[in-house]
Amino acid sequence: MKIPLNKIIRPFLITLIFLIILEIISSSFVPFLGLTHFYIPFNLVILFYLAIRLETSFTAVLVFIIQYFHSFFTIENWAIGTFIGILICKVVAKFRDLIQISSYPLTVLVVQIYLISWYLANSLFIYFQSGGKTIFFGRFFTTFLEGILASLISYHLFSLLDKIWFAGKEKELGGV
Amino acid sequence: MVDLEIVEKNRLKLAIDILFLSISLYGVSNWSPKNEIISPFKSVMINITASLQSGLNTVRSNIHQGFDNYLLNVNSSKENFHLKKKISLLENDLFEKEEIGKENDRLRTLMNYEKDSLESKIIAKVVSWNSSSEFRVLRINKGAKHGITIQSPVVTSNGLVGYIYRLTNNFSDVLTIEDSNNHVDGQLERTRGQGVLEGTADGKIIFKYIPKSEPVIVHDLVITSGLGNTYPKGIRVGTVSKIEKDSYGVTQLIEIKPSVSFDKLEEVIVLKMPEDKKKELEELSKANQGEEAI
Repeated sequence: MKIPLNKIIRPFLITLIFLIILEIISSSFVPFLGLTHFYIPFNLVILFYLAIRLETSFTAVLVFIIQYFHSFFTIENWAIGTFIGILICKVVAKFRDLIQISSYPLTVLVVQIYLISWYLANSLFIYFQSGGKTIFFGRFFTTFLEGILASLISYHLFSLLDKIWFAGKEKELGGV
Repeated sequence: MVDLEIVEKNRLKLAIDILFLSISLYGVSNWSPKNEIISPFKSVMINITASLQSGLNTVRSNIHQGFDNYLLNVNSSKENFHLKKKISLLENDLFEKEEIGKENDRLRTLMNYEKDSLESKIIAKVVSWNSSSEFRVLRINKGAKHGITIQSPVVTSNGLVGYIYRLTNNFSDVLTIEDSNNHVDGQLERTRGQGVLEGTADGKIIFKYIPKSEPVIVHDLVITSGLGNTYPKGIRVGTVSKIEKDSYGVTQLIEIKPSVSFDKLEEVIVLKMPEDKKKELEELSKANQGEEAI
């Protein structure tokens, strides 16, 4: 959906608040249930939603802001996330018409593929930067499990984001 | 006319993409795995979000206590409702006191943590964990305002936790020894053999550069060696849990089980170095760097 800049600001601010709430819950509530090394990458799921739903010249700015806000909760370098995010969002946008998130199984599949692609791109980037081979394979299983959980809830997350972005409007892409 | 508009938009899109890709590459080149100096805006935002995390943590703790109280009281007889209420109140009080007692015991143990070094200690509560499984970082409720500085060592009565990676006025992020960016200079207590402890991507801690000739055995205690200017000497890190000796190479692969149970961490101690000792270490570090340069 093509959205002018002035129509982006309000829903984007709400999306940011939504992200902050999810990050706070996942970083301070879930770990004390014993899951200290298991996180759902909400920032990546939100970035996927923005890439697939919005046609705007400012995707790179949105990616940067999402990754920067995510860095309040992690020591993860926002810059790597922004770099990979911009490139992956470009690819997702190119295949926007082919990617279907209209049904639950399709959404799960597409989000899982997207998250694995992100993991591979991120590992490759770190490998070229520091030569850490263990990073490439060491976390694959954990990331895969996190990705499954993220993709399982992504359909419902997208429904909520649809309400934020397209409240009272007709959805254009046969939305969820 | 329409075509011209599309071309203009595409140019704008390309320009924004290139600008932000360049900014992010610049950010990558400036990133340090050792520590992070944060901007005032980020500091304010971390303080706000960490306060919310701390609040949620308190709510969780209260719910947990409330649930325990409910379980304690659920079997009481209905016939003695008033009596039960009274008992329940007393039990609630007792439970709270027990919890306070347990907390006091834990804090007392922490306070009794004896080291022959001159560091003063700051006790802090764990507020949250890093929001990405790639890193092993925890957030504590004490910051620069309480006298904590970047790279201050963090311990518990059981052993080493890590060091302060990122700092705001009221909160700090601790890079634990399980993280692959954290390198600890360690030493085998029994044989005095020295090496480097490093976290791996799959959450293990390995002890590197120990020669094959070193007679390491399982359950050997590993302590900090004091080299590297980050951790004081003699802090317990963990015990040897696995040894692998390949037929090739000069070193052996040693896996360490940390002394600290990271999944159950609630309070930690930040060791605050005295100014004169800190300056001494900085000067020593500069001198070493100078020698290396020569």
